[in-house]
Amino acid sequence: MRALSLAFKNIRANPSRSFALGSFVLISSVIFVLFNSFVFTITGNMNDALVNALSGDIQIRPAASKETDMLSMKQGWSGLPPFTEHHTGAVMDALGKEEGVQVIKRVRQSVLLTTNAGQEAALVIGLDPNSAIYQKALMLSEGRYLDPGKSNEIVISKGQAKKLKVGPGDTVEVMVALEGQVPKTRKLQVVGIGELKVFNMFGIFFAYTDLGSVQNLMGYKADEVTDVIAYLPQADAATFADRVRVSLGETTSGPRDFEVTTRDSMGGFIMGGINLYSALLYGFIAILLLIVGLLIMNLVYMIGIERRREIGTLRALGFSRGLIVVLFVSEITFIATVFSAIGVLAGGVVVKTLSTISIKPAAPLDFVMGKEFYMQFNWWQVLSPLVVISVFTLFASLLPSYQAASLRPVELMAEK
Amino acid sequence: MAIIRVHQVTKEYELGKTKVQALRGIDLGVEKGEFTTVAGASGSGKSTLLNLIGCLDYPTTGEIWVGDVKVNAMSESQLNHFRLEKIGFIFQSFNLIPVLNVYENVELPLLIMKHVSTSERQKRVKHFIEAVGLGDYARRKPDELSGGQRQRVAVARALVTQPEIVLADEPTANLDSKTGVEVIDLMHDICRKESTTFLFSTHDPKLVQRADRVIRLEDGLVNREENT
Repeated sequence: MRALSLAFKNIRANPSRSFALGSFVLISSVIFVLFNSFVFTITGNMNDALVNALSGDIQIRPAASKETDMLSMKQGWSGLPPFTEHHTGAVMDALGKEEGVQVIKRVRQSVLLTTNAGQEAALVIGLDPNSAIYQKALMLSEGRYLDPGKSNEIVISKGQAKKLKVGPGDTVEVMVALEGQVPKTRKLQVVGIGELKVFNMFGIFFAYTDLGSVQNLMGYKADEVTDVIAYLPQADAATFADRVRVSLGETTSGPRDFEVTTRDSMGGFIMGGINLYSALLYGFIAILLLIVGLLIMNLVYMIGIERRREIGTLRALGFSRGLIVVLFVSEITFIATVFSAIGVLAGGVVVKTLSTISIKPAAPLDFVMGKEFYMQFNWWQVLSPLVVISVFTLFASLLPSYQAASLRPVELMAEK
Repeated sequence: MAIIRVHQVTKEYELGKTKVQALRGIDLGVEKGEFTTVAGASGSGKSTLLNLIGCLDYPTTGEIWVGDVKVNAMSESQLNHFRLEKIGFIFQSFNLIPVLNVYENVELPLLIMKHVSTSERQKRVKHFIEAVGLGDYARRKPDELSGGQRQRVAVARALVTQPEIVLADEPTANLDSKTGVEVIDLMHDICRKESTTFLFSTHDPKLVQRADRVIRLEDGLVNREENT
């Protein structure tokens, strides 16, 4: 252990070199913390938006429906198979056993919205307007949300309103054409125009209405719904879904009536989009780390050349190759860890400050960040760069250290 | 039995596309406690021979024995341990670690000798720093010392592990003649007191005379051996 003091004495004896490396690590750590927190916030916002707008924490629907039904605009023309009243009752019984769970019955259907100005396809979601969770995902730009005391109201997206040339108070005709059936229509009054947070970029053409209106349109009975979604207080969605499956008797083999899925498994291409965004942002961090790694490797190579005679002396005295590698790696990793800690601290302060400030990004950033953006502060997101950079530095300095220590003592001692 | 035995040792180097035969079949022996010098002109093979005996390099052919160990057959890790326990080195350019002070430089090899306790380590370091006359300089860094003082530190560092042999490759080459003589006399004195075997190389006739025995090399061969 005392031998390691040589590493620390070298740090002190070469302050400019230590500071040069440290400064680079410090700046990289600050950028890493900011990016990490940014990605964490963005993905968190996207997940929240997905859960609030579309999926809930878990979704229960007929086994005949497919995973992509939740979002697909293509296959809805033949109609999603709804639960019978009996099945809906079973689902409500199963969910009723759980405490603190908010349950929403819905009918989702692909429709055509028609006005004199034209027609627009939309995914209409009929739900109980008393359930205000959808409001969290929906930013109104005009009008209001659905009135729980009224029916035949609809909230549509800004893009649709523009194309259909309607505003609050106007009427749209909602048409559904099922395979082999005469198209059905219903007139609904536009009460609100808004945008789904974050999902604008996915081109999701939604429309919200009350459950009764869309059931009437489809000819469903009161408890015939295409799916039931549930919002959980704290519980792990996968564990909760397992319990619900057990309650519904879905654990045995044989024909199944229910499909119980969590948000992760039904997000489909939206989750793919979120993952793509995360991958792009983390790709930037990977490039940053690569640059840090190359710099560190280069620096250790240089130190190896500078200290050729010193390494040779140590080898001659009996120091093993491994011990010399440990000395080098300790020196570099110590510098990187100390400066990374300072960088992480500085980055943490910036993130903490940003978490209290409302950022209103301009277009096109608002497509990703939403109209109002609060950076989320999370200890793990702030501290993880310290661990990553320290471990990365350790590995980056291993190879050049090993190479420097692997020369024969007689080569190291030779005059150059 | 000689503590160092070199038998038909050759050493070839590749210098670009040319092969250089530094040693051409050396045979020699050094008795325990002897103060011996390897003398010869520049390029005669003195440093190569000391490097091979010191286990810093492998011979091309031949055998080298230190005590009853055939060192040219040992693995790298065995040689690390062997150098630490059995051999002390004194280099022409002192080769002190610049960031360590005198005490720490002398202490350095003991830090990796697991069987030496802290108190024993401190005792030995103090003893050898005193023995080379640098008791008042223990906290000084190498760049605060004269050339002669630096070489004394190197002598102390070589002896602190209580090796069986001390090898010194031109230890006075970077010193003025007066200081060079002082360092050689110091080594000779310690050789007597500690019963340590010293083998040093030099091309300075004045220093050659201070050795008990002289092995003269010429073109990679032992030209003659003589007692002084």
